[in-house]
Amino acid sequence: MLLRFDERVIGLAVVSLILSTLTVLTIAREKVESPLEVLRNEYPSAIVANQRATFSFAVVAREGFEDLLLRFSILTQKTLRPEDLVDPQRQYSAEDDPEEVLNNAVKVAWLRNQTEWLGIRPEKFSHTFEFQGIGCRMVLWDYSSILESLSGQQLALRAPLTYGAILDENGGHYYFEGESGFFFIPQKNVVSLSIAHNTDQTGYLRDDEVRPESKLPISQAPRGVLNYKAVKKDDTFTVTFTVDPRAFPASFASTPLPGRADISVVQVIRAYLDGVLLDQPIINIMA
Amino acid sequence: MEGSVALVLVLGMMAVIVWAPTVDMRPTVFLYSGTDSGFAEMLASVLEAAEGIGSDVRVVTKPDLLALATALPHTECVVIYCSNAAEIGDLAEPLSAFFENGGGLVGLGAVCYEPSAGQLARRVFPVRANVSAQQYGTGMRARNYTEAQDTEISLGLPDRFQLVSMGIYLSGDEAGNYVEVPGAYSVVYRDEATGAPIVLTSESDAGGRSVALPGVWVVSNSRVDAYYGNLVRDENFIRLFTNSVRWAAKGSVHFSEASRDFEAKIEEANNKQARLREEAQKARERRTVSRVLLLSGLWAAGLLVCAVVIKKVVLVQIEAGF
Repeated sequence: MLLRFDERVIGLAVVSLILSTLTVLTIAREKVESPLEVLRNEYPSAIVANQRATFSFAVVAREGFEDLLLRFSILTQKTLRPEDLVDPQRQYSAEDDPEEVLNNAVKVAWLRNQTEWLGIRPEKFSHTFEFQGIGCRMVLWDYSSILESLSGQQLALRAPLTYGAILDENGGHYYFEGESGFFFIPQKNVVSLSIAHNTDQTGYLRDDEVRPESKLPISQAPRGVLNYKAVKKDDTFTVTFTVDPRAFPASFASTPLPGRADISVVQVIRAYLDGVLLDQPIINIMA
Repeated sequence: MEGSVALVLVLGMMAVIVWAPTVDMRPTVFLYSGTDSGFAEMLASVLEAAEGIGSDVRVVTKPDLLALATALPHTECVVIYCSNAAEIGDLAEPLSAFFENGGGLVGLGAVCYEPSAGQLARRVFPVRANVSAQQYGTGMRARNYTEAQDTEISLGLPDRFQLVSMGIYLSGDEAGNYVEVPGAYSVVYRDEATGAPIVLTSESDAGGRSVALPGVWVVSNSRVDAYYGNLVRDENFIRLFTNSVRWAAKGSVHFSEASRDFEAKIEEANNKQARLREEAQKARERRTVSRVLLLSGLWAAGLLVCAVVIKKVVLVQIEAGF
């Protein structure tokens, strides 16, 4: 017997087909804005001696990755003496390339001289921002990653391999030096540090304040490089630390020159997803 | 004719491959002697003239450059002479890391003295010196070296010899008498007057080597007997110093490990991003295929449910006369 379908049944079947197809296509075409979303990036506006300050950084993975590397670097402004400069008479204008400030530093020139012939090149980044109403252009050179892979992480993490220079709109120039790490001279300045992957949290305290049953000593904390494998969608990563700056690096430039922006410390946070830098580094400027 | 052109092209390509520049990474010894680089310059000349070293020799005039040198792959050995804490600066951590990660070091003077060098005098140059025996008065200021054991460092040297010096840094009691501190080190020569180690070697678990020379204490004034220029002219010092550098440089592993397959490592470092990106792309493709299969399954299941509902609920009611 030939089955005769009611037109309403056919209509219902067609509507069901279209709706389920649209539903599946909608799910299939779901797009995430950014594969890694910054949930929190808090830092103090100024670093003041003997005054506690807290940094907090959190991200969530919006999709899965094989490899996530978070690299924290901390740079401080340095006052260069004439003997630290290739050309002590060098003047800058607002139109100059900030790289020229780096090229004029003896230390950077020496490092370039020692590494270029071996094919070792730094990672380079540029950043434009306004601080205290003054427009600034910044460059960063970082030898950390390449020298970590060639000389070993333990050696590279203990040398100042990150350099920065800023030229402001008035032609003022600033030189920065730093290394991988959450904060400079961590064993003296970091009061507490917490690193968490989802609910798996590890805490660190000053070496002389550690109790055996609780946290680990700061001296055993990672030096600003956190590497996670097989990251799943919606995994969260949080780093929180409190500093009480008591010791400052040699030649630390704590007093701004007249007409210059008061920039003392620069924190750089980079996220590498499967080896590729996510956008540009996050650069936090502090007085 | 075409065959000849092809042959020339192939030969040309082969020539390019054969002549492709390769990195000749030579081992380098870096020397630093505090604010007065004159002593380091003279020590560099000694090394350049010595047989069996065969490394490039570079003098650095600032402690921060020496810290950078410890992070370089071609650094084979670091030679450091300091006379006070200010000259050592923040070097303790990078030099300790260099030693503990397979580097070679030779330390002279106050780098063996705990009040000036801190952990360097404990971990790298484990003299653990807490007192200094400085010589005053008339007569030539010198230390007498007496052999404690026959090693590569004492090769070609007499059992007993004298070197000009202002004094020695040693581990001692309140009266300044030598007190032996147990530790993982070997004494090659002892100071005759105090019995304290005056040439001491140490090795780290990762293959680092250090030689401590706490009896090298010199001045920059050429009118003084303990002038460093007088020391570097002494044949016994030249042999002691070059033997020490050779033992530390050639026996430590940092350079040999960093230079092994160096070009491949550079290429790997440069290609790491591309490789990780490729792996990630493959992983993403795998995830996409899984997702499409899952969604297709869900879609088919949904359609099946629709068909069942139509047949069992809607058609039944229509056939029943609604």
